[in-house]
Amino acid sequence: MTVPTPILELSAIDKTFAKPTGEPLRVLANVDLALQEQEILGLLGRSGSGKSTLLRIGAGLLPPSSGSVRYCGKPLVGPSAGIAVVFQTFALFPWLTVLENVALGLDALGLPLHDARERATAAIDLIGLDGFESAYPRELSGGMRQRVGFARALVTDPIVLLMDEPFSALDVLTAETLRAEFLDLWVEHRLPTKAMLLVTHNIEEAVLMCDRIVVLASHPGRVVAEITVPLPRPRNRTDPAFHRVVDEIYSILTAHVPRGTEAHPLRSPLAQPLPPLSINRMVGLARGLAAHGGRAELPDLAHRLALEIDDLFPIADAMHILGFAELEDGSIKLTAAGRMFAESNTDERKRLFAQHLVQFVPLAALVRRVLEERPNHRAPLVRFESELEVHLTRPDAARTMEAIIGWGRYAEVFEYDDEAREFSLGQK
Amino acid sequence: MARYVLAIDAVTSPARASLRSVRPDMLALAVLLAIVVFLVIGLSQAFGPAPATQAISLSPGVLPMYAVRTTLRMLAALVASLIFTFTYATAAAKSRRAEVVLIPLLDVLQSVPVLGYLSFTVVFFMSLFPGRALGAELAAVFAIFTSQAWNMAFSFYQSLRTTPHDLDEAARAFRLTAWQRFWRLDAPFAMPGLVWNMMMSMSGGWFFVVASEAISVGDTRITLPGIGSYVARAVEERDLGAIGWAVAAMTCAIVVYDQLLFRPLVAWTDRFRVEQTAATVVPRSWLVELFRRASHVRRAGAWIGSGMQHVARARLALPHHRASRHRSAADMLWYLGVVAVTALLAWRIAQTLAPALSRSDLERALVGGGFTLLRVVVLIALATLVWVPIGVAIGLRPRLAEKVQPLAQFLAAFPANVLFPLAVYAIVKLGLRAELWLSPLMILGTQWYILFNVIAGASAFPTDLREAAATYRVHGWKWWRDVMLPGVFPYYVTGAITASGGAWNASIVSEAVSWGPTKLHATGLGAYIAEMTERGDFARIALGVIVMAVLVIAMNRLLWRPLYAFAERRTRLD
Amino acid sequence: MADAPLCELEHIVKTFALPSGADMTVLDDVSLAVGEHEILALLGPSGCGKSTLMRVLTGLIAPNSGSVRYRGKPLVGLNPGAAIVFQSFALYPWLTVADNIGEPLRARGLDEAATRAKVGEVVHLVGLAGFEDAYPRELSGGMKQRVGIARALAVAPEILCMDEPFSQVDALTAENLRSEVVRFWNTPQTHLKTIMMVSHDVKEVVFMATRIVVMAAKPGRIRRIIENKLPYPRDYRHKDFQRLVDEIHAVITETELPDVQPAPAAPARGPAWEPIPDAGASQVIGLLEVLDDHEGHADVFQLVEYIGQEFGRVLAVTKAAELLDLVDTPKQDVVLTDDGKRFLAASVPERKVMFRERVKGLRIFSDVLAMIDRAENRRVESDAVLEMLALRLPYEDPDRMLATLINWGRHADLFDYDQERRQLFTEEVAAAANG
Repeated sequence: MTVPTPILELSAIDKTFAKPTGEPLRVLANVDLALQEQEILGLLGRSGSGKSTLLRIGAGLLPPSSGSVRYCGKPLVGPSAGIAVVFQTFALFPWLTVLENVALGLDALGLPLHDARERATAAIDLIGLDGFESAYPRELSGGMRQRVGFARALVTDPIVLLMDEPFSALDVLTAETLRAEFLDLWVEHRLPTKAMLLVTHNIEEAVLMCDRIVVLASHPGRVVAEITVPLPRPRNRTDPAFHRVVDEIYSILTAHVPRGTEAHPLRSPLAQPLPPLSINRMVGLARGLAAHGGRAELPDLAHRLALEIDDLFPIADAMHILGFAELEDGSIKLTAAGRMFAESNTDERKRLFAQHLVQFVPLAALVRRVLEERPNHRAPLVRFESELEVHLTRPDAARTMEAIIGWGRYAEVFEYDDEAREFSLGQK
Repeated sequence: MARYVLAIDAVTSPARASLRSVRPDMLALAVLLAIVVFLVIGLSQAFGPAPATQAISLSPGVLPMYAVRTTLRMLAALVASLIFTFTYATAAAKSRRAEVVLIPLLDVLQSVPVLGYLSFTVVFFMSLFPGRALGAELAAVFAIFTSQAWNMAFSFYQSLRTTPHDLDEAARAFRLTAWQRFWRLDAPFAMPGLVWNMMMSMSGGWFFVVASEAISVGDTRITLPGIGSYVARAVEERDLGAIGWAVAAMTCAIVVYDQLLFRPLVAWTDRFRVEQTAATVVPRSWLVELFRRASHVRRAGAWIGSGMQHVARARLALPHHRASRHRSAADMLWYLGVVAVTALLAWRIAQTLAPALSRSDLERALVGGGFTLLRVVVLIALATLVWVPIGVAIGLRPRLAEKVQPLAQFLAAFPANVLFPLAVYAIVKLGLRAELWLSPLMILGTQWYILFNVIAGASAFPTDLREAAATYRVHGWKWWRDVMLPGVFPYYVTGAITASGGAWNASIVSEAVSWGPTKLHATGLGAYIAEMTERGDFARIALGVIVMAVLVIAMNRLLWRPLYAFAERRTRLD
Repeated sequence: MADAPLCELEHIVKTFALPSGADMTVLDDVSLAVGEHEILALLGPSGCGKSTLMRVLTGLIAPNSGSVRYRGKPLVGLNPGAAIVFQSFALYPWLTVADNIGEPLRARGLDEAATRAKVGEVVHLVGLAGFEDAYPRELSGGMKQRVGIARALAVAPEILCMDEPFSQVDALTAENLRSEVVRFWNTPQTHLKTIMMVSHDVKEVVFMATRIVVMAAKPGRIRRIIENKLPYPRDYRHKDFQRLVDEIHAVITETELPDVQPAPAAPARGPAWEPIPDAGASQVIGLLEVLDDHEGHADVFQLVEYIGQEFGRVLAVTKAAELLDLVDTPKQDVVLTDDGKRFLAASVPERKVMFRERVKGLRIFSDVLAMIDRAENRRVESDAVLEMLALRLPYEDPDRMLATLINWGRHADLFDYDQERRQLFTEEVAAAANG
């Protein structure tokens, strides 16, 4: 049996952005992606994994730095008529009615106004928005706005539908409805598209909707796993088979968290991007874990605390880096120090934290050292920021500095003046 | 939590029911007809064979026609400004090379006092149409144009540069052509800011049209029928009653312009706002309501509307090249070329001026500049001390603010130079020192900008911060210093920048004034420029204007911009 | 403990004027006594007037009628013994943390040295050491609220009032802060005797409060006061904790989802309309989908946890679904009816038809449809409908009702809304054909 030609094929995609310093920063590294007919492919990863960038490359909105994009066998050079996009923030034009917004997709095809309106009305009926044609976006709830987004994408009869976290800006109930109705349309073959790509950071959503899931790691974005989801539709979250797939994905994600002191062969130890988290959250998580015997499965924890992976993982990462917890195989476990962290009083906790900060976060130790060495015990922010920007993207560098500032202040390892933008040692 | 909100009449004015009884179509038609008649009469007069210098009657009966003429000039300038804005700002936004030249140029143009180069433009236009009214009209219109166009262009340019990223991606993903994109995305997005800007600069416009209707530059004399020339004639004849009539006529003109043009525009552009929740105060305009209910007129309008739709959807491609990020050799050459041309121009200007001027001229201009600068600073400080507390007091009482804001906006729009003769009369009658008492005239019209901006700032002050101050008993001086003043600071700075710019302009017509044969004079750069204008001494006019422009730019860079940056950084309520 | 109450509120009535001109009763004859040495919690869905009641107690708002007594004497102006911690933190962006905390002290005339000392003490107590010179914009939500708490503690108030203090803070931080506030109350150094807190989170009040006042909305009144005698420190998983939570849940559902509908309040004129809960049609459908995932039924508070919204909102969606006969709510359960099951099994167009049938059956909709049919051109001013709503449903906000009405009406394809001209209208043919 011959392998069918994928409808959309991304091969050896590399994407680098030029930083202000002129050096290149790799956002995607050698990614291969093949979207086959009659499938919903999921792209799952944390923020920073380049999944949205990958989607935009597939849509023709961004060119890859190297590698090729083929659509229906032919190279893709820009946005194409057969590929439509649904955006996370809906991207509706506030001054156009629902009907006009949906018809926008047809403007580019040069259809006469009357035909465009007819097709738009049909798309609106399909997606369940009839009655709202003359409404303006500001009159609609989030869920309905996204329906308009879907209708606009579908009105052009696209062959490929690319969806960039389409449900993440919606509340739980509305997202449920929309997902369910959309899946129904797909299963009943009432959608004109032949293949769909769903970018998401919500693991359960991916397992609920996709036939195949590609998991991306971060920094740089690269494929670390490809999972087939053989479950029949309609899928049920309470099904044990469903849980198994979810657990598997959590395990994959936790396998890629580096510890602070592990020397990455190609990177400086300073190049560890840190999540700007307040201590409160770490304490909260630690106490929550301590109350449950010191360990928990990540899916359960996420469910219990109603956290998505982009909320949960940064905290887990931070605790892992600081040596207060260990992440492995889809679960998180408090270390002895972590337990002490959870249970001490304010002063002891602060001291413990300070100890771990200097021990496990090289950047914090560096700041402290520099401050001690300098005669006036002051050092400007830019000195450290520019060093970081060599290894990280600018937003990552800014976030890392934010984290360091917050943690350092809490631990009273150093002080920071926001007006002057400089670090200093306290008066102790 | 997804909460859907509707732009349902969350705020209504009591006027809702009043129009229901009148047949809306008849009324709408009547309004339309009136506007058309007004336009036709005015235009025919402007293009007629009348000479540039016309006799101005002082009888109150001619005032309505004069008011029409004045308003027409405002409209013409507005149209010209819009055309300029759409072309200039779009070019600057879409082409990096154009941007390099156009935006700094705009910056400079904004800082040059309008009345400063009125004298040059008058002569220029008069030379195009010697002896005819058309030249004079164009000069007057051009003066108004320069008071609005730069602001509007800048606002449009900024909107074009800050289009929301996701809408931009959607436009690209759905492959809209540049033309389609302009009319679907760029222009609508920029509308609210543009209209607001138009409203603000219109206030300055009245001032300039009045100043430019009766002007003499050396032996070139202009008197165009209009309220400004009416006032000038009344001053010559020392007719106080006529001044009173002029004030009344001006008030009517402003109110009509506001109700028939601006309020409707602001209400219409509300639909272009990008914030995704409904405003709690939806701007209302009785005119818009009227047209909405007049169904037959609407249908006719809809026909035009759909025609425009077809045009907007056309798949035209506009030439547009966005130079890539990397500096190329061509770019380098372009920058060098621009610099060279600028230097050359500056050299030529200096060459032309140098022989005509002497050192004492420069000294005189600088000394005058110093005096005027002193006046501006002192007056702004005084206006701040007076109007900030009042503005805060009003802004914190919503019902009062609702009533006072339109009044403050009206006062800012009303051209103070119409009132100058009254003040001059008083000074002469009471024998006061001109040097001191002419100064407040500069700030008479522009102090209101400070007031209504502070009112806006106080109205927008967050409730929870006020409650915190109340419960923690922060009162008196501390309340001002730590709670209210930082909160309204960004708004204050915006108002003060406008007020200060307006004061510089006003100095040209307030430092040297006359009442009949009596001439009052205060030492200052404005008086210097006014005197040289009357003499027709172009070299010295240029000197005066250049000195004033330099002082304004210096004040902007050294005072207002740092203050604004400080306001952004420290006192923003995010 | 027969202490004289610290503060007494008697027969408080408060109405607000809505922008449309109607008056809405927010508090209807509420009486409450606040004692010394207690943590009193006001619990209820949004709109029940709990924040308003707190503001009446602190003197920020004057009631329309009723009396407020503090230490036996009538309260004039602001309550001198109260300090507030705000939901939105209310920190001055241009002052540092230390200055924000010290401001009330300086306002009271305390000299610089004493202020600095007190600020230092409180900063240490609340865990803000190291952040004294930071500006609010540099801090996370949890830290900002710590500053808010520190500021309140610094003035040693007799009553600490907290207005939904943790609702804008993430869950983990909120848990942390809750324990700390309780700890402050138990620590003699803080001189904290009485706390009054406003909340919509049942677990939060059971964790923190010694006395819980359950309030109902529309109009705002006290439903029940429950003593919480659990010993500190409290454990969320302890069975007594759970029992109290269940008791409160029962009170709430009794009020909000009664098994027997109370007769609607007698309106000014005309037959009674049943108010439509503030919930969008797509949320109602979403609820059905969620129930489907849970085999057709779930405990309502389980749903609240799952959906993650404030319980008032979830209850509104549930009530809406019940109104449309798509679910039943026996006691605390939410169960799909047969109609509900049929709805779920149907295709999108079939669902529309079903939805339309149910909505038309509601009195308020049939009356509005009749209004539209009678009107010229089948267009009715939304103002006219608003007036009707204000008359027939005096305890509801007419603008919100109208918004929901239009949402359901559009969904059901019964009528549409022209935003420009502010009119409700129907397309003639459709209305006539389907009657």
